[in-house]
Amino acid sequence: MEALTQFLSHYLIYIIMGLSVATALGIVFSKNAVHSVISMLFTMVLIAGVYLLFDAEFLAAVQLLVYAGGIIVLFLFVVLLVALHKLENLRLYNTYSLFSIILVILLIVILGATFLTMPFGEAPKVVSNIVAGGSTEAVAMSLYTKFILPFEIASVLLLVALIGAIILTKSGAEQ
Amino acid sequence: MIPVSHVLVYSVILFGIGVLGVLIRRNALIMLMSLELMMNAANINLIAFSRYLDNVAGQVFAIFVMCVAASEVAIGLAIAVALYRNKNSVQIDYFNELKG
Repeated sequence: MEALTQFLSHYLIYIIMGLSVATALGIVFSKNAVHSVISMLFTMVLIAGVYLLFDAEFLAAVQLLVYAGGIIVLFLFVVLLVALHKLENLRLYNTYSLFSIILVILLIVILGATFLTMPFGEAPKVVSNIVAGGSTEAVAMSLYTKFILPFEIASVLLLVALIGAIILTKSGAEQ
Repeated sequence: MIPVSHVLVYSVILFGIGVLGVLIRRNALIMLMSLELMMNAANINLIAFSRYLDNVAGQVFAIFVMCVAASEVAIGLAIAVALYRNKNSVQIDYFNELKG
């Protein structure tokens, strides 16, 4: 039991990272768009797990609520709305797919090698600013004092997006 | 805790998969999903550095990124629905009016 806890506390984050990379590949390479949405749901839940392991409890909850709860449902709704079964015999991938794959692998290798050689080092064991009284309280204190102006601008942005989405989908029906 | 460079490599891999999705898929909805994946990769970096530097500003920024991502999805899906009304498809092959 002790060995298991020891193992999990060291390697759980790598397991979650590996699983989320696999499900992210599922988003891109699924033939059926509904399967892509399901893969995205799993990816978002696993990324919420990564946030949780980095002591960001509030962000993990927001990730679950916004992505797994809201955005996935929105995507699923639109995917089912646009009747993808009619598109089944169409081409799935672009003409230059192989070239793109090589370029992206090159990007990952170059950036990854750069990051691995950088002297970032280990994390501090004790984090006083974040975990003192839970990260939710720390985030709230920062959000409502230091970052109050961006916070208000974000609320206006959401309002604009709301009105824009309604108008974009409405104007087609009136014509 | 794991070294921060491992987190950076992980988020580069996720970002690369997102770029790949935008580049190779022809379905506008799956391209939007890949965009979301790229935003999440950036968020992982913000949160990891917030933990490693013991500074809560990274988490606040991640909240703003999520806010922008949510509004982007709402607008993007509205555009997808409008395009579907016009062309009866969401395949990007059909949207070539701006091509010279």
